Amino acid sequence: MLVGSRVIAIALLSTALLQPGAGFADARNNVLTIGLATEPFTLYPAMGVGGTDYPYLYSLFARLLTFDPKSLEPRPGLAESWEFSPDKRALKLKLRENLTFQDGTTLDAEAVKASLMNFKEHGRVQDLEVVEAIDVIDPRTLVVKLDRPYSPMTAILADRAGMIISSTALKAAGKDFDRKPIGAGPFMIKNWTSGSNMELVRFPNYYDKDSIKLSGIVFKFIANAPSLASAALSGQVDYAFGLDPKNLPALKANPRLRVAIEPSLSLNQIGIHLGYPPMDNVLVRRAVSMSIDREALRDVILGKDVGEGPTANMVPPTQAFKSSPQFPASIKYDPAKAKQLLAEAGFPNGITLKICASNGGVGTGTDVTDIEREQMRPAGITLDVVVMNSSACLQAYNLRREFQLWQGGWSGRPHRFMTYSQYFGTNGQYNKAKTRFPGVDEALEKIAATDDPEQQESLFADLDRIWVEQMPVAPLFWRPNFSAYSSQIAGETPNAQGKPDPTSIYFIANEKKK
Amino acid sequence: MGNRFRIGFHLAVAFLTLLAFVVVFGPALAPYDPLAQNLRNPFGPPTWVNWLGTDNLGRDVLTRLMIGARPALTGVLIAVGTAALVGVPWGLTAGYIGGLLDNILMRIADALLVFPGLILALVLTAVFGPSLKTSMIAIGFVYSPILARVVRSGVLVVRNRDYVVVTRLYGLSGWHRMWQHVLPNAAAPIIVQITLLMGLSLLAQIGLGFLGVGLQPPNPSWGGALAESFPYIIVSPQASIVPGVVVVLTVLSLYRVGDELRDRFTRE
Amino acid sequence: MLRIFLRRLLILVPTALFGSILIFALVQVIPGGAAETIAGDDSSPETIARIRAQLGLDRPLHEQYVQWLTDALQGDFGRSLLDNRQIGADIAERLPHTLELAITALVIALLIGIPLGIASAIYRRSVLEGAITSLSGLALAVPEFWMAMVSINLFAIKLAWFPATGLEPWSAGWDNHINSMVMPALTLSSGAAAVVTRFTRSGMIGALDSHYIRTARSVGLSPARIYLQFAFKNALVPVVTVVGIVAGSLIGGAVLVEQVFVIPGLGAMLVNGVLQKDYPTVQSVALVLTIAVILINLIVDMACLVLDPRTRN
Repeated sequence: MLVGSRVIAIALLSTALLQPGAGFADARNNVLTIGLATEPFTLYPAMGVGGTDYPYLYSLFARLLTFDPKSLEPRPGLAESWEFSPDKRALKLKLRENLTFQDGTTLDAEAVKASLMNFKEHGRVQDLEVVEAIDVIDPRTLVVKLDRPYSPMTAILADRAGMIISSTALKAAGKDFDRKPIGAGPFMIKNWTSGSNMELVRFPNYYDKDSIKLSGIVFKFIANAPSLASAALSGQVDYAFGLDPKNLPALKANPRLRVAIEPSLSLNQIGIHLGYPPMDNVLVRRAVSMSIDREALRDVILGKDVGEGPTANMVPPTQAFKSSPQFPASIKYDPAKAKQLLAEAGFPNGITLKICASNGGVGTGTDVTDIEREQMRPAGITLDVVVMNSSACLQAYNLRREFQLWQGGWSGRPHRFMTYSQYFGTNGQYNKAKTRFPGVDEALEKIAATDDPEQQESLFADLDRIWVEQMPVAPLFWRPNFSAYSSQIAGETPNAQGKPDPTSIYFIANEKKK
Repeated sequence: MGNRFRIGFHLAVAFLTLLAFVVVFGPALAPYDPLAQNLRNPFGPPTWVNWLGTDNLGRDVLTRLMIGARPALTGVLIAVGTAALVGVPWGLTAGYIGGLLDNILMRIADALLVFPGLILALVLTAVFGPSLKTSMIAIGFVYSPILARVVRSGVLVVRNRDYVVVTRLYGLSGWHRMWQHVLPNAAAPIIVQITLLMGLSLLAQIGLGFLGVGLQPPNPSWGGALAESFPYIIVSPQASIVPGVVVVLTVLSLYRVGDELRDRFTRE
Repeated sequence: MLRIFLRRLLILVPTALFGSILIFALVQVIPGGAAETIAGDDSSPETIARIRAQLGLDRPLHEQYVQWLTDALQGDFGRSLLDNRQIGADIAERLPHTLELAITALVIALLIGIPLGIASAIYRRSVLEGAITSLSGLALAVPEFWMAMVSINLFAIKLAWFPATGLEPWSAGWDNHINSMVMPALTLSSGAAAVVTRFTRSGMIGALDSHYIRTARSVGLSPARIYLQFAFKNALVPVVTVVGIVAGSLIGGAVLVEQVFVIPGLGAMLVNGVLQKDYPTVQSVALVLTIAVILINLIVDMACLVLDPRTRN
């Protein structure tokens, strides 16, 4: 009678007995399975803007320069040496010998120039706008000429702009280059199934191939937090990145996992649209900033005392790039004062502000706005929250000016200078209304013209002070990266930027055999 | 066996009465402010202070469930009301007038029956923005042909009975006849169907709330409570149990009442 | 046969058309549509008008509708407002996942529901029937996604029997693929299984009580033969009917289950489109899903006719 159900029950039990959670995690074939929350829009470095794209990009592309994971100082990449001219307006780079792209074509100075010029002309991020011209001296040497002294250029060439692509492949592939890019990195793209996974295989002629132990990488896109955590718990992935800290206790309790809280430049913030009144009024901005209890937020979202703490500035205190220490904790939760500022600004009866939030990230959704709403109430600020997907939120906020505020994050820039110039400089790409903040442009120019660390420090300290007064953005708290590694792997090199490069990881058992 | 079933029925009625009571008096009865957060006590267990514990922001679960009952049932009423407003005249006309009009109307009903209701509700949400009213009207609209068919069958049964024929002889107007005589006698299966639709609407509403297109936070809603508990399922699996159980009990009660009414009416 | 097929088609084609009109009209009604979105920040009315002309939005509505429909039928669904990708390509990638999920759930529902329905009809007024009826009633009352959440917690996180997330593609091995399908399909099938159980039961009871079954019994045919040969076949007809009704709710349920299990199907695409106000995507996916449901109904109607000639009139 219950034959049907019995058959089903047996079938179910037998599938359950098949290795639970084996998935792709495949030590025998030396393929690393990585679980992460965000899938890139595009793998073409010039076209992408996401701070979460880096695990993919670092695997696929080689950069002109790299950086030391701890100090973020520039290190050789495709270029084995480099030299600034005394006036910092020209950067000479010498490439290694016998470099090739993943399609076999030669990677020489001409190819590098083509890639850089392509980024300058078509890139979504204007990192190369200071480049005036590029001169090719010989097949292994080129000089990048800048329109002004610009010491951060070495950091920029260690980022997206320095990811050298094959221009011949770009021409041939056209729009397909987004999904099937050709670079010179340690791994090549094999397959990308949207919404599911991305498979990479080893590039045998990578210039530093001896340091790469894996034969392949599989990225699995797991968009919700409990699923990512349970993928780590069940061994479905070897390495889970970008975990929700709420799940850390369960992960720590699992003996097959190593849990790591890793440094990053990331922070959670409330973006402020300077072009949408009344956010152009500095008193209103300061009021918003003062009506948030950052520490309470951090405790709820990350856990008590996790991470570097609440902040009012954009650059974390951990690394070589520090915001001056006296500023980050300087803004206290003071709704009464905020109310006063609002009254001074012309809003004695309070104000309603529209904010866009997205669920799915850590601290960018209603989990945060629900708390903020209550915190802001005594200051007379009413938060009108609309929930959208994160990319839709950004579009609505940036392009269509539908929101005064944006609940988001900041993943940091390779050089602290870029953060300030992009948010604070009059022509910065995040300064939507081209607001001129007093003294900022001058300070930025001076910083770019020098690489004397002491001089830079005092100039940055000035900027930090002006930042706290002007509040172009309301940073909330630093957010470290939460990762879980299977005990079978080792070799990870978390870097201070918080953008992981998974290519150094290896399987312990496989290395022992050698 | 009969006894067991009767107990079920009585329990269902009791539960629904309690729910109705909460809907009407809830805001006055609820122990705490549904929006009041206590960040130091997330996912607190049931205690004398918080009978059902607290949610991820330390808000009292019992209060939020009680306050959330109102939009839940309001939504159901909107859906069923829409279904009735559209479906009853539809079925009445088709059943009473008959002939070609009946044929056409019923073909349209068959066509609409096939529609995936959730999809339509989602499309409407994309257009008009997420809100309880929009999604529930969409659901009601999609359920209306079900009601139309039931109404029509009821009308057909009653139409040729004696008293209708007699009233026709007396020359009373058609509409008058429909209201006074046909409809009340066809009411029984309609009422049964309505309880079924109420259960279905509640489930649809919860589903839409879970997807984020229903009542927007921080207003307490049953669907929203389930959505909010999902990211915490590893940390606090019990957070999803309470709202889920409340929904199940409500729907079960509605179905149980519907079953009992149907049994009673078919016995007559 | 062909005549009947055509007659059924005659009913369903207008349904599909009506659905497409509804979907199209709803989305076109909105203010601030595609042109404003593409034009972006601070656009002049001239720019917006130019973009509208480019997109063909300044043509009369019925012309736009016809254009949209003919394009869609050829597979051209336009581009997503968000990332400018071809919607048709995404639909082609995701449709198989949703279909596989829904059809597997349907098959499971039948495999569970039919035996249970028959059992509860044959063993009427027994504890077994009571249990089955209660269980099916419960399954009808439980929201599927809640069941999904609870089963993830229990089977994936606590017991680690099944993966908590996503569909492993076939390329990862058929065993991994099936493993990842089990929970989503089972949770999705629960409501449908309950409905199938009930309909089978009433169909079976109707058949068992019918005149010629009693005759067969009085003549002395063995019970097994009676059940299998006569009653079962007749009980199937209402079941086949209900599959058509259930198809709509399975597609709707798939949308919810896909969210919880992070399955890259059409449901996820639709919800994301709604939340992102990506109107072309919403229109296209809604159309495809509606047509899928209609087609399932058509197939079911045909199956009905094949199984029982008596329904042909």
